[in-house]
Amino acid sequence: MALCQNRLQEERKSWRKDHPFGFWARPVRNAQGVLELKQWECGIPGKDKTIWAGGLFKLTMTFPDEYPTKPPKCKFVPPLFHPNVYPSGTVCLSILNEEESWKPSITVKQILLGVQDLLNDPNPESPAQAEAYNLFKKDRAEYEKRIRRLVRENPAP
Amino acid sequence: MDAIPLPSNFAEVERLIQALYQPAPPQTIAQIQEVLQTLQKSAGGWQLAQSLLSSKDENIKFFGALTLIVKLNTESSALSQDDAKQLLQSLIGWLIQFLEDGSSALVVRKLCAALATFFIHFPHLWSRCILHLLYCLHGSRAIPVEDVDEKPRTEVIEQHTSYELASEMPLTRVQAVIWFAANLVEDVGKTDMNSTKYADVHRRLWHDGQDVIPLLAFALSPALSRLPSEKGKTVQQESVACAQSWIAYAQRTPASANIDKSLRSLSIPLINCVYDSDLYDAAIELLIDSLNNNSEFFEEAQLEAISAMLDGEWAQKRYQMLMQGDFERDSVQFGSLMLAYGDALLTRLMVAIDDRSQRFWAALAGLTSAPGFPAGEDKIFTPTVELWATFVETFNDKLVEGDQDNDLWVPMATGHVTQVVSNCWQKLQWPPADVFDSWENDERSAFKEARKDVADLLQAVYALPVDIPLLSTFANSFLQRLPSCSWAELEATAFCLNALSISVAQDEQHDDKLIMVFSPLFFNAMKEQAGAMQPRARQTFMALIERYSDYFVRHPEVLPPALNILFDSLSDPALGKGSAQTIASLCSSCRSILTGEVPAFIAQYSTIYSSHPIDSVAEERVINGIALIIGAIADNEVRLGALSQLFAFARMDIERSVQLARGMLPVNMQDPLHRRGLNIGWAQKPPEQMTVADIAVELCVRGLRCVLFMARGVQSFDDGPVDLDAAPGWQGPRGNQLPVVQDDILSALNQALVTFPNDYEVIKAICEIFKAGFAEWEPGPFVFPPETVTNFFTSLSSTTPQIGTVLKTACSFLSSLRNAPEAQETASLTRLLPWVLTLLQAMPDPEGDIELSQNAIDFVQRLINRRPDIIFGRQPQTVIEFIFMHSLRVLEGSNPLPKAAAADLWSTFITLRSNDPLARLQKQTLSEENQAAVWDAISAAMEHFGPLVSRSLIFQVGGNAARSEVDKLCDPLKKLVVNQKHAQAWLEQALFDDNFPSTKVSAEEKRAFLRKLLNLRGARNTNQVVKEFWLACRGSQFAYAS
Repeated sequence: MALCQNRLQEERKSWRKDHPFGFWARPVRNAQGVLELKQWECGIPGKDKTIWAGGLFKLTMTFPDEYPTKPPKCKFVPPLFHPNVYPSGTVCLSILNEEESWKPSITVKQILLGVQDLLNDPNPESPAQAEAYNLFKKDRAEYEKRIRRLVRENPAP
Repeated sequence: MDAIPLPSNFAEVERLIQALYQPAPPQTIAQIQEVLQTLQKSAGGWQLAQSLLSSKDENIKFFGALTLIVKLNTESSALSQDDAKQLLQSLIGWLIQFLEDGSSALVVRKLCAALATFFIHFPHLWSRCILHLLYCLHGSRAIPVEDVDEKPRTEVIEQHTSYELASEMPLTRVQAVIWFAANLVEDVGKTDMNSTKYADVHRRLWHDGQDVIPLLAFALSPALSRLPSEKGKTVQQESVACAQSWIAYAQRTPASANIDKSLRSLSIPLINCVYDSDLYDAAIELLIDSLNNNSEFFEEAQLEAISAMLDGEWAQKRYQMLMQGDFERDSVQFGSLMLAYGDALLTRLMVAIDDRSQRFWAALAGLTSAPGFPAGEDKIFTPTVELWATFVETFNDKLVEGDQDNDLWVPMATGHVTQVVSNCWQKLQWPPADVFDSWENDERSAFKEARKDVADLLQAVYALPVDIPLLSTFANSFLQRLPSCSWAELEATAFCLNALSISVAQDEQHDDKLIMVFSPLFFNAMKEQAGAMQPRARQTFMALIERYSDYFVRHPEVLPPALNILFDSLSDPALGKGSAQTIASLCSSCRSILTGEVPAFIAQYSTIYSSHPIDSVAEERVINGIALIIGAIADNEVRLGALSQLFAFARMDIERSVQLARGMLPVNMQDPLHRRGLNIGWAQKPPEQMTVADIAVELCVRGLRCVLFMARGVQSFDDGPVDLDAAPGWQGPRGNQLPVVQDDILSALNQALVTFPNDYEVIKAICEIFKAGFAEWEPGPFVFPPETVTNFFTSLSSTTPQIGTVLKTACSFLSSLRNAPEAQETASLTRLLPWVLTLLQAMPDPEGDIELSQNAIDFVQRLINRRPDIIFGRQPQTVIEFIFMHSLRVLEGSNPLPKAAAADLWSTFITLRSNDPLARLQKQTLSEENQAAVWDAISAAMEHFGPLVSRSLIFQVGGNAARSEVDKLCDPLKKLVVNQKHAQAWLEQALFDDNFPSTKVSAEEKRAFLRKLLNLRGARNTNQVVKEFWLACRGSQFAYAS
């Protein structure tokens, strides 16, 4: 537990010092204004020169007590139309899977950059929602149209 | 261009190398490089390198050293110990020669890098490498390594420390050893500390490199800085950088305590280097880096030295330069040193009440008021705000812990924080538009980020349990400044108020302050001075209304002016989207209060609709907002009347789109009602390329999506208690008007469907509109009778685009039928099942359309769970056979989504008897006799398919499934063990089937697995047992794969 808290303090500090452009990530504040370190709110911008450019997508990161032994859970709120996002909004990505590529050394910054990469570069091997997966595979024009709508509904400020 | 042949003699090689460093087309350079690399990799590469090093030409010598590095990195294992020792002697020999013959620094540096590479591959052959190299350069000959390190030392060498040796050598030689020492630690640092290959080099680095400390102590000594030559300065700068590399390495090493201790002896000389303008840059970088990353490196004496430095006259001057707007690197680095020191000693300095500490904090607070706009001009603002954010959090922790033994520091800390807040308010003001526009993109974003950081800081300050009256100060200031029309200041104040909203808006005890914000003066300014106001200020003021929507619920008297302002700015391209968002959120919070305003809102929407198409996303939000209020109108007739009015706009879009598509209406781009189909900025094509057909379909989608947002808006209040026994929506009193409105809506949907049967967005929108009614409990315009919905579904076929999406809606529909009269449910489901099966049958490959496959299986699963009699009592055997065989194929398939649905289907089917859904049915739906017949059919199906599903599941967990699928597959497996008496026999048969996918598990292992599986009786750790079995079947090399 102490390990989890210390690491999260560290993550917070290093994020403040250096974070990629257009992204944001911070622990939530409850109504009393107190920080809840194990619950972060983040914003991931679509990459420039992709159909996702101009959008900003909100994601929550929930850190388990066993963090960093176990990875945080990343969830788009509201759930995102994307082949590798479960209908609940949870992101399916190997670096976020304890049994796959998660390593305790992976930082919040690396996770968010990884999720940003995933936006325009879905992994057809791990479909998590059928609708986006199907459109992506079968009707790319319609898929891209849908993404454009998403971007407009979630514009970067 | 012809390929370059391999050189046949040394002269040709030399020519090629010289050509490499001459200007030439990239293609030629690449070809030369390729040939030279071939030579480097060849067996003669070692010899070639040595010959190259003997050349007179600098480029050729450089390439020789490079070749040695390449050889060492790729083929060092081919060298015998003796060859390696010999190589080291030669390398040192050349170094001495190069230092004597005046070779260029470039060549000497490359050779030093080669020596460091040698150490990485042969650390055991070069103990005390730095001292050894110093001895060699001191005596101008390559002496054997043993002469230096063997104890007791041989008489050949007198004992000297590296300090002494260095002090007796020409500076050029000292410099070479420092280059080597820096290369050594940097290159070793790049290798993986945890790999066995490099463990030895990391273990030895400290022992063999320890002489770097006296060497650097000499190089940093005042004696050297007093030398008149430039060289002394250069060597000192390089020494500081070298020290930094060693400190950085020590910090990453697990057992760094000893190393720290030795390196610490250098810290006072290093701190003193900061005062020397020639060494300032390197030294301050080192201090900042060490304080940031490894503040334990410094002990009291060093910290005191830094503190004294920051409080001295020298620092005063530096600080003044920064505060006068000097943001050159040197100046900003000084600020960074202050911040690094403050951050490293924060907890200690925060509670310190001595004068020096207080002066320090006051200076740090002052750093938030340097001149210039944050980021682009003022480079120190953002990092300073970060430090204060940490300060405030630590302050809060201390107060919460109740650590106030000596609480004299609290008012002092409070004072500094108050000063910071006041400075930040100044700094976050927007520059004039032309200034902002002249900035680079990065600067603009960084400025916005800086404002966000301030917002974050304000939230933290607000949470502090000390008296900093943020809210009343900002609210008061807002009211006082309004008459002055100083928009930048007002915007900053509103921005700060927005930051506090999360903690303030919901609590009515703050209303006495908020009343100063939402004063008549404010609404008047928004209305009367809209033109004079900076758009950014206006945007922030609108956000103020949105963030404090809770206040408007408590004070409905200010709602109408607020909404009027918002509607007025809807057509403004810069503000429209934000206004729409605010309208939607105000309407949502205040829906019951606003019902009287509906006619006015519809009138405003009407003006917008017919004059100038607004952004379609904004329009959807506005429609949603108005529909939300309509939903709150108590009187049925009034509510339906209002909805009809709103719906009329969307119907016009749809009708117009149909007319355009059928050529009944010529397209007219001057007509704003036609331009609504352009969807500028996000249609697939730019407006000028859009055909009439494109415009027609876009217009139809736009209309349908407006209907969708109406449907979502008028949904009944979801905050009230849900009466589960209440009659479902379509059964309640429908009155006279409701069927008329519904027919109107249905006819529009039908027109759209018939005209654009192949457009995905059209189909999708209609599905969503129906879906909005599924969750309803009361009759409503979008709560259609089941028969109508069923008609819609069954009118679609496998040629409908993305029919799988439609099926998903059908699944939601099936679930919504749970409270329908059984006769209606039976009628709908009896029609829907064959429709679903026809769609499945039309798909040649079960995985051809995974969405269709997944949702069709999900539909059947829900059907079995709810009404198994529809399948087992009313369908021929061939249908049952088709359903289950299909689901088995999917279970064995490769796509995880339909596979998971199939696993759920089997789980449901296996546990059907214990759930007994038939017991709930009324006698007239299913007589006792028929019920018995259904059960017989279910049992027969289980008997028939039991062995087959057991086989599929066992083959999957026997290695065919992907690892991530195993958990899901455990569900039906556990259910099988618990619920089916033949499970043991079925599973055993599957495990010993001739086609079992793995040969890596023995018969005994299979039996043990089955025993465990049965003994666990479906308990949770079954999953673990199954995973282990899967792993065993896959073989251990798959432990981390898939």
